[in-house]
Amino acid sequence: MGLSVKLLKRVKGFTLDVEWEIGNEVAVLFGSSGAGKSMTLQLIAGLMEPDEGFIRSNGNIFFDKSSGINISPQQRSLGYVFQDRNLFPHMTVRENIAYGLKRKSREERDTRVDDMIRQFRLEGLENMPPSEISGGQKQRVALARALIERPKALLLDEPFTALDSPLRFEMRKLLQEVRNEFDIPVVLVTHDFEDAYLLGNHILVYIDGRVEQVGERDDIFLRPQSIRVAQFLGLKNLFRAKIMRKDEHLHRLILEVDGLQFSISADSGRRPVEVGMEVDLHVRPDEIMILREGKFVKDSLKQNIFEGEVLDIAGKERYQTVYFQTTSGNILFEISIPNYAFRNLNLSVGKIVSIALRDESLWVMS
Amino acid sequence: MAVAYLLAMKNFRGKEVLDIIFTLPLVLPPTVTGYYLIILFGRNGLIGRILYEWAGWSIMFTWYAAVLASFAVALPLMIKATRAAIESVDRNLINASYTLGHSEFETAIRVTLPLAKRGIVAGAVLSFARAMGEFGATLMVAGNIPGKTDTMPISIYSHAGSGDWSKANLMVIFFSLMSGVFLYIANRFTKRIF
Repeated sequence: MGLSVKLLKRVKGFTLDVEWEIGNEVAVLFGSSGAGKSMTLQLIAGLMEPDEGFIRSNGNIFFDKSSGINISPQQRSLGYVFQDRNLFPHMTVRENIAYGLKRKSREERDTRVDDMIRQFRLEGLENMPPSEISGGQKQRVALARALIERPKALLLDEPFTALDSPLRFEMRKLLQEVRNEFDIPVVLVTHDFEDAYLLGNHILVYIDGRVEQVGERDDIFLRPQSIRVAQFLGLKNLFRAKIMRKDEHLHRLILEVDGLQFSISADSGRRPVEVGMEVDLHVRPDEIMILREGKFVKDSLKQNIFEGEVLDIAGKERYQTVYFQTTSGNILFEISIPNYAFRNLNLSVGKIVSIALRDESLWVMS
Repeated sequence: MAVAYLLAMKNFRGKEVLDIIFTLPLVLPPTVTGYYLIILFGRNGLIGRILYEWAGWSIMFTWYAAVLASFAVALPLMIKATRAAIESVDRNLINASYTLGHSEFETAIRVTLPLAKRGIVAGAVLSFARAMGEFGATLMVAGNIPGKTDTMPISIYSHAGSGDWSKANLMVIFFSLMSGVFLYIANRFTKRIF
């Protein structure tokens, strides 16, 4: 079912080596530019040939090195939509959509094109050249053209990057409709965090030509598997830590970062860890509590309380970022606090305060 | 056009050599080009001999030869311009056509060439103007037979040589005007592209 690929491709100074499988769903290839996402789409579409591997989709074999199968891009019947510059500038909207059709009788052509124009809300634009319609309309035309022959899969290369945010919202909805109606695998390439988060029930993180992690959005954004994924996501408060001892009774581990000890739940991580191992510790900025003076502190928080100084405060539109340095160990934390909580804390630069780390704030990668 | 398409779209061994061979007439003195044409099409030339044995006819010193010479010197301009025009077509659009199920030939006819049209037309106008003005190679292969193989540049040369200034003047003015018009047309077409 769906789409299943194993691809090895070497080009000058870069190697793509990936293997994944998706169902008839929207899957997001998420990574920075140059990670091999677009190359993956080109290989699937047949515009480039893999050195090794296979490409199969719902029972069709598009490519298989071992049995020498390599179907031409024309015969793979896949829908492929690029970031922009998709449409043929010398044809009208209607001609562009009709170009996606194979040879058909005139009446059938017309009804099919009319259907697509209605479905993608392009009425009234039929006879315009692409240069006179908006970016969102262009992408709708490109989708209509790619889908008119009911392709076996839909490949989208940064389809929303050129659009501004209200349009992107609309396009995301449209994409869900498309997926529901056509019931085909949709592979979407993006480097945009918001796109990946909002579209991706199934995200594949691409880093340097490899799939570094596969999972649902919370798996990726809240529970990154490796420091590489964490760094790609731009996560703050990443520390190298050593596991000092294990408390079997309480099911907790004691970690040390620059002489400062943290107590974490033995479950906070993806893989089992041993005493003596070096691991990467992520402290989520939005899960750190700044304690108000004289306020009662729950027992469960008492294990990770640190005193330190507020170094700086930076206001963002939805929250405040507090830069905090521990007195012992001089470890720098970035802390995100919602505005209402920030107002109650009476913080100022130079103030000495205590922070408490909830179990939810600590994540271990090994 | 086929040669230009090949040069623009494909990668193959000897591609640059082919490009150089087709560009050479642009930089060689016309007499050298004419000399090559004699070697190829002369009565004892590689192609000329076969032609002579088959048809008992040689192209040399006929108006066909003048056409051939003009063609040979104008070809590089045509190929260069067409190649550049085809290469300037967005690769994404060509790929889009392929993934929509259209063959390479169909894509060339319906997408690549229409989008390269302006550059190709400009190239054609330029090379036509160049062909009109051809002198050296024509003189080498077609000679200067009045009323038969004397192209306009050649007859200007003859008139000037024999002191017939009024005729020469008329032709020079006509020729300059016409070339100017061609350049204007070629510019009109290229401006929109670059």
